[in-house]
Amino acid sequence: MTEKKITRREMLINTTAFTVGSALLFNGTYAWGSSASSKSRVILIRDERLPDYGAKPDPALVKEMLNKGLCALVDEEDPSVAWKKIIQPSDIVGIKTNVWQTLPTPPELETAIKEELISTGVASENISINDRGIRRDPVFQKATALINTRPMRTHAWSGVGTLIKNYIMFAEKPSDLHPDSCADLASVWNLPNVKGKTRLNVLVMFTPQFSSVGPHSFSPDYVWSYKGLIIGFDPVAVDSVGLRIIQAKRNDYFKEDRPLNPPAKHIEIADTRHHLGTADPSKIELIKLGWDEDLLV
Amino acid sequence: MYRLMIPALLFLYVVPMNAADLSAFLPVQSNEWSMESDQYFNNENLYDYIDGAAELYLSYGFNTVISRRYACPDEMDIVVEIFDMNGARDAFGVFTNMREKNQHEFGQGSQQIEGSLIFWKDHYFVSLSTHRNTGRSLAAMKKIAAFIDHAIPNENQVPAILGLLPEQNLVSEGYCYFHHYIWLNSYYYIANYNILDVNDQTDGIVAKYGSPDRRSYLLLIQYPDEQAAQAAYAQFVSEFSPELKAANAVRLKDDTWHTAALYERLFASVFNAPGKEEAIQLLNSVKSKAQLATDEKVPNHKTIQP
Repeated sequence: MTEKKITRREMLINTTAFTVGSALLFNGTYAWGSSASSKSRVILIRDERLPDYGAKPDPALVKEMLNKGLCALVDEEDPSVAWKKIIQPSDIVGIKTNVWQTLPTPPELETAIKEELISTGVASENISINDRGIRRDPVFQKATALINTRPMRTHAWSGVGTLIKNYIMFAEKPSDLHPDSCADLASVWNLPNVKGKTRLNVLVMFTPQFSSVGPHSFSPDYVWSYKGLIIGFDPVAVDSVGLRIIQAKRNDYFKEDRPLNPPAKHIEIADTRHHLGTADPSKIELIKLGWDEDLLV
Repeated sequence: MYRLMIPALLFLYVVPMNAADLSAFLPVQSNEWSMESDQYFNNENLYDYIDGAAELYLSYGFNTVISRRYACPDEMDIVVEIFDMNGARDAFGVFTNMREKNQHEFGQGSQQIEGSLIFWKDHYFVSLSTHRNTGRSLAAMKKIAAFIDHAIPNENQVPAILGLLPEQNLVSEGYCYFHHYIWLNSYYYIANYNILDVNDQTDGIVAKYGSPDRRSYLLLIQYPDEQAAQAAYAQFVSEFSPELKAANAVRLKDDTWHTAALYERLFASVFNAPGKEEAIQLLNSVKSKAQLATDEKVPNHKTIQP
């Protein structure tokens, strides 16, 4: 695959939405599930009642946020109708979660998704929640639908842990995707057991992590209570919104421009090279719901 | 004061010769925390331990790591890692890559924030972490850090290229040392590829100058020979700033100034300068430093404390 060389000079010339540090070259045209000319819709929903890092959120509140977000995404008022727009009772559904020890996908969110799937008519035995064992998981092996969910956090090699990156465990050898700071992570979305199956992406921004330290990449000093979910069909669009929030928080916290180190180039390359979605803010319809203090985007 | 506590720990240690010997740098107990288990990883299985984060250590050059877990009733575990890097420059590089400040409390440079204490000494990078600090856990972590600091017998020199950074307006702790191209963009995005042919044979450093609202970035790359430096410079000018063939500085579209030059086998470039004069002045300061180092025939590496 020929690498597209992108210097800062080129970005300054070509980009209308250049953000220092997290900068991406925005020239993608593809939007998930829509025509090339339409925008990728992304829902950012926040609720002040969510707790701070380390405390368990109210399961009912998490489900309420998820359903409100989905309803806004598909233009429906009734969550049960909204779920039926993306999932059929006959579906076999893999919920790709993330078990990273210090900032996993909240179990309350996993449960909320599973309960809604069951309410939609999916058989319980046709639903699995898994991360590192997905290649051996019988449900994932025969899945007709995937739901992708994880928290966003800074990452020592890929810049940020994203929805795009969350599928790396589908690869036979995940470390094969590490070269060039994980530039081609989006290629995993073309694997036969992945391609075209993702029905929903849910990026967890309850207490996202904006900086890393040490081999375990974590300090409680580097998470904050953003209390949000970002939901969409286009994983690149959802990730790029999350990235802008992380970058804004870094600049605010460190009181200077503080680009991700290394840059999260895999998001831009998911757009420009792999055409998985769009990272261009001008091609994203961002709908903001709920608590609006310190939105950062 | 923690250094004074070391004799009370009453553990013998020897200079580690292999992976297992790294355990000699660690106490079996610290206050109420007792050793639970050891794990060892090398550059073939570090992924099994820290997955994607392994690449950072591999990019600097890494041999082996010991991870020891300490447990205490009613408190969070403390996990300690000692990374045996290929050389002192690698341990120093990892530290500069992730520290936000340098508190000089342990080893040759240290940083302690909530739940994390890191430092480097000789060719070792050390990390102590816990999920959340309490007064007791922080005291235990510092006691372990002091033990390790004392057990590692030698200090080592920082890379000589550090001595080529002009001191004036340098942001304290605002530099990152590297020899892998991924870290070219550490503070300022330059390119998404290895535009300067950075590799294990090069020494690179990127540094911040001035206040946040008038920030300049200085990039220095020292090549093994002038031929390699000239080739890298030619590629950089061709692909990033062709205007430098005819001018000594370039104004970019974001109204910042950029310049670059080659001094024998040293590449130097200034980015994001608020004005042309600032850019050229910073470059001239590098030139003076490089000339001084050449004249003295010794690396001037002691002017900046790591």
